[in-house]
Amino acid sequence: MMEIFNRFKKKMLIELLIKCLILSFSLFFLVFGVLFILTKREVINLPVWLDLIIGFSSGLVLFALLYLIFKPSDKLVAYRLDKEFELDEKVQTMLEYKDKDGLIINIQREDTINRLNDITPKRLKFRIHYILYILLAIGCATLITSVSIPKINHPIVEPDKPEDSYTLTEWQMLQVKKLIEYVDQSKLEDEMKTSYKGELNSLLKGLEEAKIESQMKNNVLTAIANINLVMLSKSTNKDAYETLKNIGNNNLIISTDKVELDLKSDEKYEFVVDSSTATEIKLVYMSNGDTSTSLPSPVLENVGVDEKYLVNHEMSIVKDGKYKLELNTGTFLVEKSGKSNYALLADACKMYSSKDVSDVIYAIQSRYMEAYDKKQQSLVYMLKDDVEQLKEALTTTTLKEDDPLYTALNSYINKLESSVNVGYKQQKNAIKEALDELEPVYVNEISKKCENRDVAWYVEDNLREIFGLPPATNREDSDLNSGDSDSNNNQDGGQDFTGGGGLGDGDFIFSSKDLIYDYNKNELVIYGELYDSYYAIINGLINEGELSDDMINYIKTYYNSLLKPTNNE
Amino acid sequence: MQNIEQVEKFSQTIKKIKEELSKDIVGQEDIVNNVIIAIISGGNVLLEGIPGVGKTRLVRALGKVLDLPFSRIQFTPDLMPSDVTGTNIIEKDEDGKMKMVFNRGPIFANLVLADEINRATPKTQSAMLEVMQEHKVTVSNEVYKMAEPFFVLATENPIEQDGTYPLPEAQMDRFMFKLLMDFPTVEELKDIVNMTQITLEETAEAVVDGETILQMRELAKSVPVADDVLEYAMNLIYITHAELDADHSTAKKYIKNGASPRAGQALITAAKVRALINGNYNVSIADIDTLAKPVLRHRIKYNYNAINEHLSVDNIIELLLKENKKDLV
Repeated sequence: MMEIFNRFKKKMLIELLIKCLILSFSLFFLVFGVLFILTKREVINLPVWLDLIIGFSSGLVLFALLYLIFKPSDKLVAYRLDKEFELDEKVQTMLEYKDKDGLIINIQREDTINRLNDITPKRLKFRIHYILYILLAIGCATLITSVSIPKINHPIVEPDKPEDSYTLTEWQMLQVKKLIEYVDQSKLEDEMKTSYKGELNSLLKGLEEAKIESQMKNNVLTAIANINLVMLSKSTNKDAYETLKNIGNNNLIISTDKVELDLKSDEKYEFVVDSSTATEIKLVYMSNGDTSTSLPSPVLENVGVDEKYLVNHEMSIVKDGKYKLELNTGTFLVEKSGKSNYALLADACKMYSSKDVSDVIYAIQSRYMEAYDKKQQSLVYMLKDDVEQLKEALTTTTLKEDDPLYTALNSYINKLESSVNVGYKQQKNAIKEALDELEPVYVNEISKKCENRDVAWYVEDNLREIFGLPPATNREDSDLNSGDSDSNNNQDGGQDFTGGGGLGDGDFIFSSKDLIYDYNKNELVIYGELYDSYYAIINGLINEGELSDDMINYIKTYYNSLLKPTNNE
Repeated sequence: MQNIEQVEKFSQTIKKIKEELSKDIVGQEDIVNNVIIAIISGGNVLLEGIPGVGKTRLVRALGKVLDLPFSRIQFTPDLMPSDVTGTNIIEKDEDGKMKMVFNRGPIFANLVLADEINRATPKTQSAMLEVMQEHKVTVSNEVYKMAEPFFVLATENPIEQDGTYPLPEAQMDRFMFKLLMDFPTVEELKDIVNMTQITLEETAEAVVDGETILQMRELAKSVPVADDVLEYAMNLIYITHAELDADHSTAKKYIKNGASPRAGQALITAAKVRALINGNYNVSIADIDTLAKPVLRHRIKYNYNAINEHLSVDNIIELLLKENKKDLV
């Protein structure tokens, strides 16, 4: 019985194999074709044999999957036979009852076998859907396309170009000689002049012997490198900047608007913290370096590194929900916010103009004086700790001890140290004197070293231009290269004391309550008030008709731009 | 060999029955076929047709051909259950003593014609329930079994509705088939008139006895049914039920009450007989499709949507068959 049935099953199996082959080859051609095209167009980087293997494998996997999923079962074959030859479910019934015996069942089986005997397997036609042929056609088309499209060919090695010959021109020689003359006439020390001129003369000699461009470039770049080495060996203002910058960044301790500071006498401040803001006081440092244990526990919890309060006095009274700290030594600098004075002093090291350097030191002096005179509230700065920080910084600095900057800073520190334990007014005078003494040395040294650097970089820039080399990039301290106006190029986010307020060249934006240095008054003023006073003057001029319409529009646009709100407001 | 003889005898018997019936019945081949299927299957038949189309004559002729005790009950509104089943009466025995004796009613026959069954009251109709399903009658706690084979062939007139009592669903379900007798064609009418001019009596002769009928029934029971065919048949019954969660669009739209499981039994039993009658040895989907209407038409109650769209119950069954075909593998 099953023999006859299996003949048809075999036929259906062949049909399935044909279908699986068509689909598998379609996928094989498609995958290989796409990969081969991508390889040829260099979208991917695969060897052809790998394309072939991937394509073949995907076809093989599909073949296996299709075969396993659609392998014809006996039931399916029986259903197909009944349907195709209108056997009225005879084959299905026979198959289902093949293991049973009975009166009618046997007759039914014989009847069905007789009918199947009359049908040859050839009459069972292959049913292959036209979509399969379309898929095969797509696969073949992809394969043919992949084989026929050209491959992108890149030469593996660029052909050697004959190197351009080089001869030193008269113009180039003249320009180099002009540079030598420039060095000679500069304010550099003789030792430096000799070094720079020696390098330039060696360059000229080397260029006369150079035959090809690479030799020329090599000579010029070597000369530039040597000049820079000489320059760097004599320039220590960067070291000074790094030394002071660290003090500035680390030493400013107290910051909150909710602290009330009241001057009780010339030598005593009362430091009062409202209980509602007590949690903002994270830690109190005592004069001996320990943290205070006298504040209530909630105050000491959740200590944040950037929210420390440096107070060298003990809390004495707790009443009416307020914590009161009496500060015995009257040596405090009170200021709003921003960089410390030493950050400003560090910035001065980066300046070129002696006037700018003087201005900055003068501004620092004004800040101190302002703090001592006006008793502004909210920040407390400890001179004693400041001196310790300065001394520590100087011990770790890369400045040499015989460096004039080192000597000047050391002298400044000693002056401050001698004033730590003196009274409030004496301390004020001592600071003023220390800064007065520091300023000329500072100005002189920095100006001298900047001149050195100016000459070196001038020579480098000109050499590059003369010999067609690309401009210098990645200079180690590029903001030292901007000339007299570079005090506006303070990139540290600190206050710009010489920028005239408002929007400086940097990104720093003042809020109306910020302090700013007023050149007319030589003191720190509230930015909002300065803005209002300037605006009143301009407004008066506008009302008096002394300005043209264009000028009025220009000024209004500028002032409107200053009204941009900040995070503090 | 024995097998083949039995099968051949089955076919010959069917052929003879048809031949004899054709002497008294003109046309109505489908009706005759289905009545024969029902009788061999052991099912009852409800014949519906206008007066004069030969319902009663068919049953009477069948009684003669089958050579079985035949009785006719004319259902009227005043017919009592005891008039059908029989009743206990007081009788004197030989010694002159009084005793209760069961007097059998007309139901005690092998072939019962319940003529115009819908004219009797529900009470009397209900008297038929037990005997139609279980082939027994219970009177005064005494059970009386019917002689096998036992068939009820009922008729009803679809036109005269005055003074009739529609059969309850429970009773309808006891009928294997409900057959609709169509009005004869002109040619058939001529033959009917010519036939009855000679004699009004049925001329058919007995060709088969009760024993043979029972043997044929047993033979038919052994016809195999493939699982797919059985599932197809049962699914057809299942999709008549709108209340089930499945997606039965036709049922949900048109059917108020679906067919009972008894319909499934009837469908398969009848399909087996039909297969044998047609010379097949297994039940096919074609058998199921053909018998769907006679089996289902009295078991399905359609709703107002069907009335609104002028659909008959046969139209709905056609829709059900179409829906069922979609589920086929």
